Amino acid sequence: MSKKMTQEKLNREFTVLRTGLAIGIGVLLSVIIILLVSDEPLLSIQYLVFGPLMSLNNFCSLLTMWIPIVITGLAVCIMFSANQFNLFGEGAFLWWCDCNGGSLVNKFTSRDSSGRVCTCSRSCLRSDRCNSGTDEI
Amino acid sequence: MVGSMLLNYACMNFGLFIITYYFRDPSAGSVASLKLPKTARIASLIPGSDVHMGFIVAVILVILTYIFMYKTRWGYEIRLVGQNNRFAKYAGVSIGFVLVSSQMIGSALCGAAGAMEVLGVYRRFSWTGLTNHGWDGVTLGILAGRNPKYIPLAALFLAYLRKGADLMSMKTGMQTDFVSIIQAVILVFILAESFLAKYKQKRTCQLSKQLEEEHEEKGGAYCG
Repeated sequence: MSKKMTQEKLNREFTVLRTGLAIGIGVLLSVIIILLVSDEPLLSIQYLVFGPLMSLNNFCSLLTMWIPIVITGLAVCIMFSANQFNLFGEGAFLWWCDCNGGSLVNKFTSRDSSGRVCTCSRSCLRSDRCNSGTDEI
Repeated sequence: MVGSMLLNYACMNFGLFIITYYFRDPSAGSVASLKLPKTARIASLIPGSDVHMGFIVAVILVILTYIFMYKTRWGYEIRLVGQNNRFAKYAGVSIGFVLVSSQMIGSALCGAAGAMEVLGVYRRFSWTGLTNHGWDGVTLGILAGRNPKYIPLAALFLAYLRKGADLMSMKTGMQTDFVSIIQAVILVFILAESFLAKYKQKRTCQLSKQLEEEHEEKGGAYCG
């Protein structure tokens, strides 16, 4: 086994362990809080742990919740990879759907679908320029 | 960083200004935009539920982002600048371009997420405050170690926690704020450099000794 392989393995092991422990401690803390605060602790924990799997409807809304979180997570991955702790994701998310997603698309309903996509993309890029300017500042 | 954080509020209020004065639906009971036409909405993936085609887009974006970050020169430059910008500059990478482009791509993705949320789930824009999706993204980015291939798993964990907490709140009346506590605890432990540092040091020493012994057995000097 080469030295490089050993170091990579060690780093991976350490990252997995640290993340797993962090999640474990977080979940344990929440269980303790539920036990202390809730009137029906067992029922609360049951819904917390198994609730999303109890019905198809719950699982579907879990998937719906998953979509924007994944995409913002990817966005942060790219932004943080350049070592720039940009916290504008929140604004970019809101700005687009606020000014463009809801209203502009509605405003240009007479256009065909390709025109609508162009409008959306242009608006999206506009908000990005705003964002990039932040880091330059 | 502070500037980018403050811009969130600037954008939110500017957006609200536009909604209130130009696109407000007077027939709506609160501050909300005009209704989205049906043709503008994202098609449903599972009939009878809120799951829309954005799900497929998200999966494709995960694959594309991974390829972009780990299989292209541009992605490599972004990672290189993040790891050591002096070395990147010495290697001939345009730091300014990489920084600006990475932020642009990142926030374009955030914008896409917002667009998909509104066009896929809601019938009109009616948010009057920040949605916390950006902060969730920060949690995921740290949880997944900035690696796009772990993002879906981390997002599933967070979404599961949120949904579970919502259901718990509906059924038992327990507040959902503890999800933020879990998020904060996870971030603190992952970011704390000294957390498990002794263990890592111990393991490194063990492995070094093992390697040394292996090399001695082979009869060669270990150059490490």
